[in-house]
Amino acid sequence: MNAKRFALTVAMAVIAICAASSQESDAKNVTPAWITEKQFGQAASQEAPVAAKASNAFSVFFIGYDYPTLSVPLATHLTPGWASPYNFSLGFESCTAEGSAMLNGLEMELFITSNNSGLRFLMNDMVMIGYSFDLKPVRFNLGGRLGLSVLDVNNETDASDTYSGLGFVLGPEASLYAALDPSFWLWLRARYSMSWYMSLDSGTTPISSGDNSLDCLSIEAGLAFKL
Amino acid sequence: MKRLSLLLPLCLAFIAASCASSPPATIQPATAPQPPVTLKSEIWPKIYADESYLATFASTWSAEEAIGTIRNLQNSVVEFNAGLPISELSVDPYGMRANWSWTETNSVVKSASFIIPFDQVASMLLEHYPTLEKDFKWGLLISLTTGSSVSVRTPTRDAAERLGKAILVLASARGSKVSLPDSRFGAALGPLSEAQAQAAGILQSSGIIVSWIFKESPAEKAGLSPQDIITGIDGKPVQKADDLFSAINAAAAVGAKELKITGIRRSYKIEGSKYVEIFVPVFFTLEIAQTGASQ
Repeated sequence: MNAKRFALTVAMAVIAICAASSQESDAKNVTPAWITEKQFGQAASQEAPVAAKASNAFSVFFIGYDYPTLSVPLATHLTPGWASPYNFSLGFESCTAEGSAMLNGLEMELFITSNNSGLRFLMNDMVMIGYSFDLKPVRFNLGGRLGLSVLDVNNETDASDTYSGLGFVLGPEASLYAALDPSFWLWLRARYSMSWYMSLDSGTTPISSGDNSLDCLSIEAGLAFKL
Repeated sequence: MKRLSLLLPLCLAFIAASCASSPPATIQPATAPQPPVTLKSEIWPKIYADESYLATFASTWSAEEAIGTIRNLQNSVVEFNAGLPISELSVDPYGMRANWSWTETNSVVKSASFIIPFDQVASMLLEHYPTLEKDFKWGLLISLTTGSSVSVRTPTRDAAERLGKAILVLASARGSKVSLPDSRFGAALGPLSEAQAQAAGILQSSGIIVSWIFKESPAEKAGLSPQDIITGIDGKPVQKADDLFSAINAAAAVGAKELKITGIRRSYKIEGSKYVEIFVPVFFTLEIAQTGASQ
């Protein structure tokens, strides 16, 4: 009797579970697939303009000629004998958003002199933070740079004037970018940078003897390409 | 020259910093469920942005009143595509004729026209075009027995309904049996395709598919949606549209207030990090209107 009752209870439970699982839901609580698919489409179309916007933000690779005017103590050791004709500047600048926006970038400035006396390198690697004003069709960028500077002078005629220095550089700058094409710019930049060096050589060098600072007014111009 | 080796690490540092400053690739949050790679919507009825409203165009107008109404609407009816007002309209008990003419920017004069012979009106639909980026978002779609159709747009629903009422009066006077959406249900139904039946896991003969739902219809109020499969009504199977309409008319005849419709709805559920297509058995409660008849 007990076994029969148990079997009956199990059978009833199975029927109840099956019945419950086969019951329909109220359609008002079930979202039709086409509504979800419409949301997939909307999400995709919202992501696309965001990506397009990001790609429209000002972001360029630039390269150009750099004309430096050096001053303060260390300059007396570098000019005019080391007047530098091979001066280049290259780097990247990117805005954080489309239109006027915060700007950041990197720049490498390289002044190379090679003459009968020997070789001289002055290289500045700098990061930049600033703000870019979108004044279509030009952009006016204001900012400041901070970075490392390496000075290496190898005077083959005067061993006492052969030295290296490692220092840091900082200074404000202003740039103007003129769009020739949506992906092609002409740019002009003026920067006043101040550098302080420590000597990497033992013995007496202009740096170790106290002439360890160098100011530079850089006037740069070149081409920039959209990234 | 060994001094120049100083430059190398700085150049490398510059390149490394340049790479680090590149914007990162867009990464989807790991928790957001992803839609299926291939949507399986192509085998199901298409969803249209345009809306058809349940309109019976019932009126007590005489033929003269209907003709007067159409004449008064001349400035409220525009050509469907160009949205230009009618240049010339004539209407009499036999038909309605409209002409549009306009000059394009290159000084070329273009024209368009339509004729609605009232004895050839087969059906009429009150349309709404919510996504149209123009004024005149309401309209009327008039199908003729010849197989052609005429679409016009109006600025308001009232103008479209008055035009429909006037055409119905004149078409009925000319002996046309104008087919209108049934007021007791209000949906376009069709047989299940093999692919649809297979996807839903049922026999092709065990249900019918909803192609679209008329706005403001009992079917819409019951929660029916395009792409739903109707499998039963009041406990009886539905194999064709007539099974459904017969049951609704029979229920109305005995004064029933509502009917339970059973069906299957295609939906999605989130499984882990993915959306997965599912078919859910559902029910709808259809309120029975005591006037009109399902067909």
